[in-house]
Amino acid sequence: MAEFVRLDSSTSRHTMDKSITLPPDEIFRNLENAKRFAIDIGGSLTKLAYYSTVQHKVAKVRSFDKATKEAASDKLYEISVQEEVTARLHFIKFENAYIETCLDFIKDHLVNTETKVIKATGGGAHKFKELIERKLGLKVDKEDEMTCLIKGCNFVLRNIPHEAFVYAKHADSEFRFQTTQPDIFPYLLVNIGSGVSIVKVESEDKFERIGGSSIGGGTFWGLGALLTKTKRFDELLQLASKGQHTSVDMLVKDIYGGSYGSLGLTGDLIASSFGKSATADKEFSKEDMAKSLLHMISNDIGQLACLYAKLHNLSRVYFGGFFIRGHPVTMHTITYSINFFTKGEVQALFLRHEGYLGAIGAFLKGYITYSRWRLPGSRAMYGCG
Amino acid sequence: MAEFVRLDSSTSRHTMDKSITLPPDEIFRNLENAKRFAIDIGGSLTKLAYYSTVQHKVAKVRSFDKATKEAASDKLYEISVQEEVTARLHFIKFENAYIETCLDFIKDHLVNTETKVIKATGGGAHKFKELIERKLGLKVDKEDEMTCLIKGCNFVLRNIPHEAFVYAKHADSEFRFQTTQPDIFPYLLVNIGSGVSIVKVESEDKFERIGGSSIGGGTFWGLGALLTKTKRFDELLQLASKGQHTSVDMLVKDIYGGSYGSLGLTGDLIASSFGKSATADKEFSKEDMAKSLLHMISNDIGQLACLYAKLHNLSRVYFGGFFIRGHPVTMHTITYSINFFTKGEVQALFLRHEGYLGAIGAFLKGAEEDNPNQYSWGENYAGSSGLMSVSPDMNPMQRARSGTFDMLEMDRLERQLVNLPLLQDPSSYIPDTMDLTEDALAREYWLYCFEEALDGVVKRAVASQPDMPEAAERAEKFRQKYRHKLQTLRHQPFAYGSLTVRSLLDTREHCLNEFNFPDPYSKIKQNENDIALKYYQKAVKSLEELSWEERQFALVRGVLAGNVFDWGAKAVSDVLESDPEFGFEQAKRQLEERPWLVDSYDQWLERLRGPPHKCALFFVDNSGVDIILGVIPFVRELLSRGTEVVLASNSGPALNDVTNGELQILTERIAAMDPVIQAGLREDRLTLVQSGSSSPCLDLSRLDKVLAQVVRERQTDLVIIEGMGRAIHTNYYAMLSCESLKMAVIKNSWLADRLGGKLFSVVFKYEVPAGKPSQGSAAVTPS
Repeated sequence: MAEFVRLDSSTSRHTMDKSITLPPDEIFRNLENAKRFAIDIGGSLTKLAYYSTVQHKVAKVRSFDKATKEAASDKLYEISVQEEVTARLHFIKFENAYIETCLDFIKDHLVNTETKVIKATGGGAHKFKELIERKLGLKVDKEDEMTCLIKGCNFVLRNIPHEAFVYAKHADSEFRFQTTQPDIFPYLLVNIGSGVSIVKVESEDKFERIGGSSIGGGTFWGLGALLTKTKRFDELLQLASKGQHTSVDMLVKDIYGGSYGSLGLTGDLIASSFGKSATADKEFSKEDMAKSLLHMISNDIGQLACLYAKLHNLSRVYFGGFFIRGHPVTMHTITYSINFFTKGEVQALFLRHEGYLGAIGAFLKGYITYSRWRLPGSRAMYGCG
Repeated sequence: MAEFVRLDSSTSRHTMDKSITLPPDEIFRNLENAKRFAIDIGGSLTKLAYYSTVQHKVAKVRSFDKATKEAASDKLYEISVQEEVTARLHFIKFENAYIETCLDFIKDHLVNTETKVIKATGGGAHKFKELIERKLGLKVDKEDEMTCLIKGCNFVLRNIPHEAFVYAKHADSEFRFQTTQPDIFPYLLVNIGSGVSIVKVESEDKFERIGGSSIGGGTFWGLGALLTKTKRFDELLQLASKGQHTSVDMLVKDIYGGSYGSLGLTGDLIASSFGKSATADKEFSKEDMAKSLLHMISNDIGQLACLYAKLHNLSRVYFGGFFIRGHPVTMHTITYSINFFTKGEVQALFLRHEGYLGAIGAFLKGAEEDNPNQYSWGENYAGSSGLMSVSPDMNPMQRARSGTFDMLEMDRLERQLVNLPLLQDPSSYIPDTMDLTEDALAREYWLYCFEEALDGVVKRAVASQPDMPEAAERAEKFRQKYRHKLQTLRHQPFAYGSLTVRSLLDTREHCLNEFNFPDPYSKIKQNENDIALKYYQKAVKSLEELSWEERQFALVRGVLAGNVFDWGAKAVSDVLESDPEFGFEQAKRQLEERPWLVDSYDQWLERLRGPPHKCALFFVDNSGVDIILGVIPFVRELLSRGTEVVLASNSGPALNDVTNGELQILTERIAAMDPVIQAGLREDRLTLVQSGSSSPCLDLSRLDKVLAQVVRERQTDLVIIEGMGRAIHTNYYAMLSCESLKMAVIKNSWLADRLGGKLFSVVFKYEVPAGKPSQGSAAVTPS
């Protein structure tokens, strides 16, 4: 499932803050001409997509007419600057806290009145449906979350060079970008939201959720909160990155005094997650417990992903969802797990624009599907939000 | 990994308790002759194994020498009680707290001084190494844990019928036992100790740990302890069984308001374990958190097991380890998970003796020179505790008691047992007609019936040993033992696998043997044989005077009437005891007139008009009139038709069933007066084999290897099964790959009622397997 996101009222602890002023030069560019809207509302972040046209000045060259050549200089051709209109997709990501402010801003700046509908997806879509319809006067049209996610994923894999990367914590360069494959199919998408969805994608229109697990980001967050009394996901990851899992986990060497050679198990291998807390009476540090939990969950997801990849004979496995999104800690543990379980045969791949997949997919749904797109020049339209 | 068990000092919270006295009659039996020891020390339980020999009294029959015949009585043969030594494996399970007491006890009672070494395995083996060596003076020899586990698993799967079961919490019977497969390999063993090891076993010596997980029993225990401050594993399971996971877990419907139809996810599916505790500020109950944790871990293990099973194309998946051991809560969640992930394609299987696997394996490692795997072994119901009630609320007493000492005994069988080669589908063959584990009404009746009959059995046991004054005392002990077994079975019908009439009968035989009543019917059988033999010639003569067609019917009626003589059935034993003149002719008159309750006599007669069978295998029943005046004349007719006959009788005594030893003598005597039988024996067209069994019932998947060989060599194309025990209680639905004939008289009114008949109703079931012409394929011309 593309993100199992909490919907109950306790989710949005950030109250709506209407006092912030948005810098219109930076975000919501070209809003005047915006035509089509799509919105993906997750547990904490909203992703907005719209289509607009941009007026460029373009430099054109032209041969002088033979007839007028006499009159002109001795130049071969003339240069003229013209106005040209091109299509552009805009994607913006912001915290759910700002959604009302953003909607107001859009309303104030939206000139085009042809737009009647806004495509919406994500677990939060139905929660904010009424607000969006009231603020923008657009009809909210819900799109299937998983379909949007896959459509978005296909789109970025096809259109953005170096979209996918391998994460290597200790390498010279943390990110090793992959060259775009001529054929992006088939691939496995492991979406780690609150739970985990494992989806096999075979073509533009054909995908199947072949597996999943209830041990996902929500489990890290939920169990982590219970164990450490730390309620914020980011803080839990912070704690984990400082902990030592070996004080909580029972290792092979804790049982056998070393490796279990005949079974090929090294001494440092985790034999039992949280195995030491079963009987030891001591207190465990928040950091150590968070680290052990992170390992437990990452290893489990990694193992399941490998088994499903093997079973379906797939070698490209992309990871996404809020558990992964921009967190080097989780990218590292997932990568480690995949390497361990596949002995390097499968690489864990991550996506630069993973957070936008749902919004892109929702936008594409019912609109332009087959055009080719590219990133506009050096301007980081898709930059980190 | 086979049990990741904690070894640090905090594990054994129970201090060594030296004050308990061990009941030596009950546990550590036969210690005097114990030879080989093995020990498996886990996180909380120690499993000890040893090999010993038991002296049984066995009843032997022997022809009188011709020379001394004059001097002897008019008896056909003499019965002598001899001592026989058989091999037995003993397994005892007890809490680690008792280890020192137990070692002392063993030291004091161990007589045999040849033993130098004790095989040890399990995580705790090295912790107690020094103690064991000091106490017993034996060298501790460590064996690889996983190898022992697998060896033990192979052994129980091969040797214990109904070892594996499916768990179904809400079914009529919690346990559904599986029939033993002819080939146990390949299988997947998922051992859930502290962590999880997933092992693929391909043959006796070939296994591979293909996967594992760190999310196992230790994780449930460890995280559970952190979340609930409850330190005991059992208590955590108790908490879990009372909790509601939905208050902690985020379900699909919590996100989507209902199911996520396009992905096939129902609303009640757990989307995220502990997902609700991520942001909700409320307190969660210990019970709910424990339940959520249990689901999380069970589902994860279940999914991994399914994926590995699929990847390696395995359909049999056994679960073991302390996370599973005897806990209905975890068996249920694992079963649920497997059903969910494989949509029913794979079944989660559990083992009755799962806790003993390591000890059995370690023992086998040490006993390789005795080659235990070349023998067949049988569970001794008299000395085994059985599967305990897993629901503590159901029978708290039992549980508390069994928590201390649990036993398993396996007897080495004289003969190696194999499948009857003529079973249509050995993997789906179920010997027993009724499963009393599932049929509560039938269970009640039969338990009552056996309890009622107990006085009579005790009386007969005492009467069978008139020269032994202590027989009464032993018989009393037998009564107590068997009554206790019946009581146990009333509460835990699943204690020894599926409860059946056969298992009740076998348990009684085991208990009689245990108290040295090897053959309480030996004298009665002898008498009956003597009397019946006197009428043999007369009976044969009157048959010969009949027309062919009349004779065929008379022969069948003879077998059926003979079968009315049966001390095993209560209704008949009453009549027999009150009216010794009850004769063969009277028995015939008791029989139901045709059409019988099950009546395919016309088809059988039609078949007899065709070419003779190549070879008939006849499983016989009772001594006396049954075998001599019923079966032998029938066999004689077959021989005359040109059909070879193999007579299969019990290896050891059971009720008044004729044993192979007795039948040898009887056949010789009959041959002396009947040229047809004599020719048959001489020309090797009549053969006697032993079935390998000592049961009044018949398990066609555990028969003597020689029998199977003879059946194959002679191209047997007809199987005849006679009597209530073999043809109705068992094998009523058995499908054979050749023609078969099942004949019995129903001598129990309850059973008759069940089958829609009445007392002395006749079952005559002649069957031809589908696709085979009824005229038989071996077209041998009649001689």
